[in-house]
Amino acid sequence: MLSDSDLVTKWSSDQVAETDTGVLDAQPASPLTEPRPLLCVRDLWRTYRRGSEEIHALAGVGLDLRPGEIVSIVGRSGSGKTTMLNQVGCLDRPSSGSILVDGTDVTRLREKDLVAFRRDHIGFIFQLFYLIPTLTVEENIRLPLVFARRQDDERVDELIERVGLTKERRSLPKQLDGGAMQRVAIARALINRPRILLADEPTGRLEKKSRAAVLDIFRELATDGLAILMATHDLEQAGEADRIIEFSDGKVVRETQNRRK
Amino acid sequence: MNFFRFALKNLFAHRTRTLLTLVSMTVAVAVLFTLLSFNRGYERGLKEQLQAMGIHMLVVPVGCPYEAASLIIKGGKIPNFLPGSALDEVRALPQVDIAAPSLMSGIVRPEEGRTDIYLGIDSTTLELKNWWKLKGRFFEKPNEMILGYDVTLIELSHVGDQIYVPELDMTFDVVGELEPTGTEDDGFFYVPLETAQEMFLRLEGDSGAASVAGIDRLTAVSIRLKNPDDAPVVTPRLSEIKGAEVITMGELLGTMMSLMGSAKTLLLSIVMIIIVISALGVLNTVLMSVFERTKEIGVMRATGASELHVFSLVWLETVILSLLGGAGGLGLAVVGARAIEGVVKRFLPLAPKGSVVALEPASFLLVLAFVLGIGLVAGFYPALRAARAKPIEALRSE
Repeated sequence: MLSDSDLVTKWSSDQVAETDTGVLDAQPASPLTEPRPLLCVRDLWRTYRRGSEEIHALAGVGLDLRPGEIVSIVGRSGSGKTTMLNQVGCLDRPSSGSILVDGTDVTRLREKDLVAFRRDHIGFIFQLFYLIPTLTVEENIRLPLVFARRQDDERVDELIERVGLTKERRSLPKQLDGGAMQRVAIARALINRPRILLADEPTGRLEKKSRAAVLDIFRELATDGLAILMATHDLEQAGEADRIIEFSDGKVVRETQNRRK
Repeated sequence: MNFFRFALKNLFAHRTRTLLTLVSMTVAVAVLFTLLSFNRGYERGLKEQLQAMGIHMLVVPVGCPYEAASLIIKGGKIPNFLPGSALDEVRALPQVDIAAPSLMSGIVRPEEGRTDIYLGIDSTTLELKNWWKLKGRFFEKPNEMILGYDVTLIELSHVGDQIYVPELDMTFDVVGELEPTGTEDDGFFYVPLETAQEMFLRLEGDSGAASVAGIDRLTAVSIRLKNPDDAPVVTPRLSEIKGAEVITMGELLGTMMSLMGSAKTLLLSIVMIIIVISALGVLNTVLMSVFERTKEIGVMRATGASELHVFSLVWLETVILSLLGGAGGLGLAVVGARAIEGVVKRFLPLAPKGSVVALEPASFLLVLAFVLGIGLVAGFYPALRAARAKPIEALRSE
């Protein structure tokens, strides 16, 4: 049986050409012709203590993400994929290193400013959707606006239509299938017009048709300039990305450019 | 959508738990409000009744309980009496406007489950209680009787009828009846003072009381002063009367309230326990809800909620719960006040006439503020706990 890493290697040898030959711990690929990165992660460490033992969930990671780009992070469980998303999403603080989002080093922001920054610049999608069960589709999508004290009915309507949930807008999450729930989560993540979308195993719980629908939406969003960073086990999904970054033991061990793109 | 709607939806998501918490809050608030209203109503009723008596002070025998009527109703005997000479000494004081003597005693009628209380009075009582409306006339002969309003209803007797007292083999002509006064006066059989002195001495036999106090013994002398401000001057003079004790109306009110004091303290203790339990119930409900929604809180944080947002939401849920419980409790208290009043009056023979439950806006606001306080205190810890949850840990929680 192949491990995640083996699968990535197999997949990359079949489908893509490696753009860089070496291990890219701190210096990710960045072709000169591409636009300035929206996200620049440099020498990022996240260390936990377990008794006297130090565990490096991230060990000097670096990566860039440009507007309109979809980047997949792959790797086995515990390789640091989700930790990376949490750092970029300002849900956790790094032990050291820098994370520049649109020119702002978020590691230096105070907690209060971090909340506002996260709300305005970053959208989150989770594997288990994490919708609020007591709120309708529309209310779930609107929730980040409530926290931002904004009223933007047009945006709500636009997103509901875009993710194809017009008929279900008054439904509760329990009345929806997995695909529809993830589309609600996507709309919720986009409501504050973020520039970066972080997705942790976004299609992990979906059947094939729903997976395809979610990936179509991602491609559309990227075309509109949204930068998408997703952690995934799904190689088919990873193949839809512009780049694939493989993590192992908290480090970037391989970065490949999708030849089909 | 706003925070209020969001909080309501969260509460409705666990209907049974919310309902049980609301019921406990409702009961606690209803008890608190009723007790508060009863306390105020009772005090007010008592004051009004005492003021309506038009009496500034009472001279009673040393050791005679103030609640003499209550004692007699229960079949007890008044242990001491004032001698008739006490009345002359009272009347000798220049500050005294009216001094009305009375002798109170009762005849127990166990087969009818009641005690008939007889009050021997003379015409000075009519002067003292000038608000009495008397149908018929005052006594002119020894075997004449005036009935209090309640007595006319019990005896079904009116002016012109006769009442036979088998214990004394005496027949009285009813010559007058009182219109309702709303006071204890409604419950007495009034007979001439001398008749009362004679009939009860005969009924009781010579128990020794008469030999001490004389045939013209008295239970009390009610006094109206020319100027009520003279009470501090008159009181020590009256205290010099042998075997007499002076009670001013202020003291009487205070004593009656203190009689209620012990019961009130006990009730307040119970209410405080109920309130603490219901506050713990609220705390438990909200805390459970916070534990169950840890991941949800993580999602809220990830989608832009600040610590303050989470704190406000959880706190708002507690406040809504408390206010709903408070409103329910106040509603229940208002609806149930009359029933509670009936029960209270059955157990308190000295309860003033009229309503003893005062549903005042001040009590209403006080209880609402109290309930809100409970909500704010009980909700603080769960709200703080929810707000302080690290987004990353909340998302990882199971």
